[in-house]
Amino acid sequence: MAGLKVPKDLTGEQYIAIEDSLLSSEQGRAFLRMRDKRGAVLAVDEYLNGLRSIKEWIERSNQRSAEDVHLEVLRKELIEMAASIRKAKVEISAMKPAGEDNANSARRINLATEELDAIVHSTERATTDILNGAERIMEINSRIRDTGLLLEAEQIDQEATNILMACGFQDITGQRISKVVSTLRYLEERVDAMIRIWGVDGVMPEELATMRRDTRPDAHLMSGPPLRGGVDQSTVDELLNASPDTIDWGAAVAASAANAPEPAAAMPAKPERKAMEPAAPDAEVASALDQSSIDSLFP
Amino acid sequence: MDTSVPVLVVDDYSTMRRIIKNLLNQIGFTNIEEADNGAAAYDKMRGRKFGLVISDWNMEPMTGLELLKLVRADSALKATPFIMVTAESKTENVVAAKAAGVSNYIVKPFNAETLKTKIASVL
Repeated sequence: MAGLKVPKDLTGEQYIAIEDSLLSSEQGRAFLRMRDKRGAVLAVDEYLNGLRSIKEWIERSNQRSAEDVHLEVLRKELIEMAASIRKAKVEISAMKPAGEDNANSARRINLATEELDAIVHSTERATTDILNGAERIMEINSRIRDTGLLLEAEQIDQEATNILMACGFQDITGQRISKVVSTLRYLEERVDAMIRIWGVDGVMPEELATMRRDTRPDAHLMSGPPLRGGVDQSTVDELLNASPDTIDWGAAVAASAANAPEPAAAMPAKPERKAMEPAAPDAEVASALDQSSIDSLFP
Repeated sequence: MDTSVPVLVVDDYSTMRRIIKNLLNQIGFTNIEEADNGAAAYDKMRGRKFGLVISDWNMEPMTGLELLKLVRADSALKATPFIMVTAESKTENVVAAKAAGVSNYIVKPFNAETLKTKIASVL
């Protein structure tokens, strides 16, 4: 087809001249009528094809919109999930703040665990003191009995026994607290794992920091009984009795630190020993037996 | 009740061992030894014959139930009266202890009268 020459379009004058030439003869006019008819048919065909295409497009669009609805729902769900994860990250990061307010503090869960450990050890010490007292009463009572005051001696013995038995609370409460400590340690491990995964360590949004801050003017002076760093009564007395001009505050603080007990974390792991023993929390009460029910099992 | 028999008190809480020991003294027992877990108790039992064992359940490394099963499986020890004193008070605990051959079972906290009654019932 290299030799075929593509004709150029006619100019307006050329078109009118040819049309006039055709209109001047019968055959020419017949040709023009036939050409108009064919042109109309072609136009209708093109119109119909166009309509068909539009119809098909609308149908495809309808199908897509149903899919789009599902995609939109998914998208919203994902956005909500992302928002929840962000919120969780903020909450978790706030559980272990590393801001200036907490620069010297251990992590909060750790602190709670240490406080509970301290309770266990305090009650143990108190129980030992009570037991010592009860045993001394019993020793003295044996001498009272020797004087012939048998009824009184019997009553004192009974009361001393009641004191001894009441000391059993230390075992029970120790077990209960140990369970809580175990749970706290588990939570701390999980929080640590999430922080490692999400890399949110040290994040503390300002609004959360404000929300959790104690706004009382003397809040910085209130932290409950100290686990370490407290002063004993004699130091308090000395401070109260001394003239303000003679107090060496630096020495007082140093003495307070020197008198501090070992951190709770370094204490013997006694509470852990009972971690697996249930202490009949509410959920277990229903399945717990009282002594009379147990007795019926041992006829 | 023969109060001359040697008694072994097993509990990992020294407070509880002390309480039970005092109560046993009041009842008239004078020959009392202590152990703070099942393994230590079993060692003592293999070295000396005890007429009564009063044991806690939850101890480490060996629990009271493990100790009970060892004792019952040992031909030289299996006749030893064994009382479990524990905070475990769920049905399945008592059933398991009974199945293992426990002589009696006391729920913590308990009173002196309960301990006396249970001891009397197994001796």
